[in-house]
Amino acid sequence: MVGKRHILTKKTAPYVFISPFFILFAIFMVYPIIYSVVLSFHDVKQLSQLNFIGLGNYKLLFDTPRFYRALYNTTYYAAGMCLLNVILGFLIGLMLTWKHVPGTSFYRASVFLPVLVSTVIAGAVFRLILVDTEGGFLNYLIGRFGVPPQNWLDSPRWALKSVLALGFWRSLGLSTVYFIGGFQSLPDDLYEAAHIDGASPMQQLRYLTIPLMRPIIAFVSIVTLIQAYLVFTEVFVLNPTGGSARDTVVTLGYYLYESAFRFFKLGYGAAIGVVMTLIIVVLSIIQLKLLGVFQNE
Amino acid sequence: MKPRRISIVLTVAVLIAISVVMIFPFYWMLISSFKPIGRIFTVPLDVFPREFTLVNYRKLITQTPFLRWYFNSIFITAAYTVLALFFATLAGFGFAKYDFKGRNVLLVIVLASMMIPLHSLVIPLFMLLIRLGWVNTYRGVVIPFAANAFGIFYISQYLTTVPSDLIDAGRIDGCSEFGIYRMIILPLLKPALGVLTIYFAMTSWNWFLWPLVVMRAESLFPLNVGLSTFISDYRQRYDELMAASVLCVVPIVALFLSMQKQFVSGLTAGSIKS
Repeated sequence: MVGKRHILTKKTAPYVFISPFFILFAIFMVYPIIYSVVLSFHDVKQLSQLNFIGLGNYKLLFDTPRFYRALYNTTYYAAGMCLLNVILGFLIGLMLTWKHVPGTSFYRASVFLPVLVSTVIAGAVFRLILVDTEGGFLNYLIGRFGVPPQNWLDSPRWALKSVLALGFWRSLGLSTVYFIGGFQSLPDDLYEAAHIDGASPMQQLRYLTIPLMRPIIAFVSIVTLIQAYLVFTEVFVLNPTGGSARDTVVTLGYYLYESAFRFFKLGYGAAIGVVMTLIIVVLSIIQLKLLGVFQNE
Repeated sequence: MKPRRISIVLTVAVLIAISVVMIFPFYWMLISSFKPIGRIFTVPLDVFPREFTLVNYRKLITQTPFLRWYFNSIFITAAYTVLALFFATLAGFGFAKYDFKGRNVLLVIVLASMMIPLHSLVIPLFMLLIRLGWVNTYRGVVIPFAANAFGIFYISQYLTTVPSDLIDAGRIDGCSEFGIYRMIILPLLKPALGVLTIYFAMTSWNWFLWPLVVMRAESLFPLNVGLSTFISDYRQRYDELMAASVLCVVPIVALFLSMQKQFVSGLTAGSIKS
């Protein structure tokens, strides 16, 4: 072995090992990010023909009602996802870790199964269930109670809620798993002490469980919020052809896709992308702050 | 203290109700896939199967590029998973077990890159792909995301629990640095690789926006993109769509049921990234 030379020494090896990441990162992330900011200041006619228009795209963006609609819808969706996942994930997690309940592994698996289904397929089944005549299962079901059929997918009243239902169905399983993990790591002796002191189950929940679970609640809400702000596929699948009520479901992600890849307004689309990135970065910074909770306690 | 019987019964009732709602779409997918198109949304609706036909499956296989799409999805998933695992383990090892100049700064860059959403990249990335001539290619879908920051972070965290003595012993025995990675580190990483494999495979299997943008030719669509054309088709091909859904979902559910633990950790590990 003596004298055998390796190109990789203890000094150079780490740089070589991490280089694939940094090469791909530079080409496919750093460069596109910078270029997307550049693009957002241009009117892109052909792929290679950029006309500088300064803040033109942003001005247009902030003058377009559809953008505000998208911002509102995205926020509505994200807030809804956050609340539903935290409240129901918490409650279901609580029930599933209650030691007196038999057969929890069955319920656990059934809550988790939708996580495995891709959004497109989940959306296809949801469309079928939500068909606007009595040939759709949901309308058939409410028809049994004398309620007339609703236009779930395209009406201003329901369209966005249907998107939310789809997103929620696919995400509840993961949130529940986080809460289950949290509940399982709660210290038993605190509860015994509380019980001896005569605290009712409701008081235990209010003064022990919820405060102890705060890091998990913070984690689930912010992770859900960030992912929900990027919502695109759910909308694309439930309203692919542009129905009459299009503005009722347009989200930022969808608006970006539509502007860039349907109408080929690449500069305008890039401006939407920049706005979305800013939102995500702010949310991520809040997340880092909140998760600091983890380290302090 | 034993809780009152009634509260247990109520809890179980609620859990059963929730399970029914969560499982119902699977049931609906399955029975619709066996209904002839004329009966999928007729009034009155068949809530329980009345007729049973395999014609949707036959049409799907013989009259649509479904099998080709299935192959594309498997190929993209496999290629991405293998590449991402290789880059993640290599870089994770580099960060965890070497002390080098700039290590901390570089690690922070890796972590910060996790914040960046695809949406902010998709337009310039698409323009870059056109210039590279990578539109309508598998590498165009796979390579831009093959270096996964979360994977690197995950592996380097995992390796901090592994004692460095083994590596030093390897060096004394004359192992090259890459040899240490291959002979010592990779075998040690087995449990972490299981989790990451599921995370990478599930992520790339579910990709939609990026392949939708990159793949313009029908024969190159992965399943998600291909099946979404059934929805936007003027005829709304629910018959073939439901058969296709069953054929996509069944293998994954079967895998999940046979290795629930790994799936749950693989999928939950993933969301920590954001």
